[in-house]
Amino acid sequence: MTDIVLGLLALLVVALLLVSLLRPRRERSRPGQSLCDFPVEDLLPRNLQYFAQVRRALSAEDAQYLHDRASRPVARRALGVRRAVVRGFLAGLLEDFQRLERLGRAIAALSPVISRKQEFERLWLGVRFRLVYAVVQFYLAFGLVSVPQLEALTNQVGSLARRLHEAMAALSAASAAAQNSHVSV
Amino acid sequence: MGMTPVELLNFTLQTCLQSLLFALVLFRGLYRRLPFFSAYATVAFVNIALAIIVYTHFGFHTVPAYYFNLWASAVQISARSLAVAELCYDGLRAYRGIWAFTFRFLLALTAIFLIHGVIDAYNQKSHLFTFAVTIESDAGIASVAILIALLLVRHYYGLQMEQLQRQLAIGLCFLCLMEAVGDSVFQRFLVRYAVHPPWSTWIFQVHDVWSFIRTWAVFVALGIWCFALRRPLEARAPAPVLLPAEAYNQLSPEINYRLRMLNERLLGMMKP
Repeated sequence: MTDIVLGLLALLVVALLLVSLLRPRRERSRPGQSLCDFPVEDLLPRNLQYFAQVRRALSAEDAQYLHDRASRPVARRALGVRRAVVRGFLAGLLEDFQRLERLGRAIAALSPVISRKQEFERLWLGVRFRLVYAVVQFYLAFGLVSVPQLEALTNQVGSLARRLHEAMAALSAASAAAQNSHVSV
Repeated sequence: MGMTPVELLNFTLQTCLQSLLFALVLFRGLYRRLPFFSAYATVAFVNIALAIIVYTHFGFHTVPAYYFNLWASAVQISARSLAVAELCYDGLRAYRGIWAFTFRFLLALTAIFLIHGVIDAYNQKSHLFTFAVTIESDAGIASVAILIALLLVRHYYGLQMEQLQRQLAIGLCFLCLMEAVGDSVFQRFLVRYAVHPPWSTWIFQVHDVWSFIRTWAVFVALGIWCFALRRPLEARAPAPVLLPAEAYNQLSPEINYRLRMLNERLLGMMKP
């Protein structure tokens, strides 16, 4: 009886997996497109530009002002709002990380030769980032994350974005030229 | 010994659907695009035609019909496995780098399931029917696993399936999954109880339920494939314009380096 129950559970899991994988995705690019058809803006980070506002929201001066002028319930509520802002920003950073990942996958998908080592490494980095991100969210809930740490993380994402934007522009131009020569042949 | 009314109805329905699929495969010219899937549909159609001859001449619940069904199933499962392999190749071959990377992985997965299937079936060699059910079950599980691996790779790299490929894959997944589960459950009953005759009457009831599930899984799969071929085939999407190899060699390590740094930085946020 246990075998049958386990078998049915396995069947349910597999069926759900198949349904989610076989469902058509409208937002994905159609097969057969070239790199110049990928909207670059969708592949590069966007949320890091809001860090200045987040930094202001988390500044020590703001915290001191609240401590000196506001009542305890108001200060506590403000602290909760500030943490929510940072949580939202971290969610945005996760989104930016995912965009960079997608960029890596898009380049791999359109390459004639790819490296197993690079692909497995990127897969592992994605899994690890999400696991660590979940833990950081937990730390954030207890106020254990500081502004300088957030700033350093944002700078990392930003510098990669600038470098990749330049490379994507060059690749899009090369891809468009290749497509034109392919059509004319 | 002839068929019961329910068996006759099921057989008639299967004959009609199988014939319709074969006709659609020919009429739509699917053999030009997916020759192995077309071969599978043809094999299934020929099996049905031969089954009519065998059942008419020898009867339904007879020894010749039993051996015919075993061999027909073996040929059909082989053809279906090739159709699954073709679906993998057809969907990814335009993406040369991804295909070269995935092909080895799918081949390794196939080898693992093949070895497991051989060992599993060898343990049941003393009883032919159990042996056949074990082979069918393992082939179904292998097909589902390979299709899931293919779909995961496509999902990971953001490669959409063409409508036709998706519908054929849905039918194959459903059929292989139902067969694998039904055969696995039935095989357990056979191993535990059927090798010690006399068989109790309930084993025949289990067999009837198993047959019912298999038959209707075939109907659903055939219905999905006929629905997929109801209209003329769409023109194939143009092949993607691939990047030069240097682009990947240049950018991928840098992306990975930055992702690694992001990981380290995020990890650093947990440190006091």
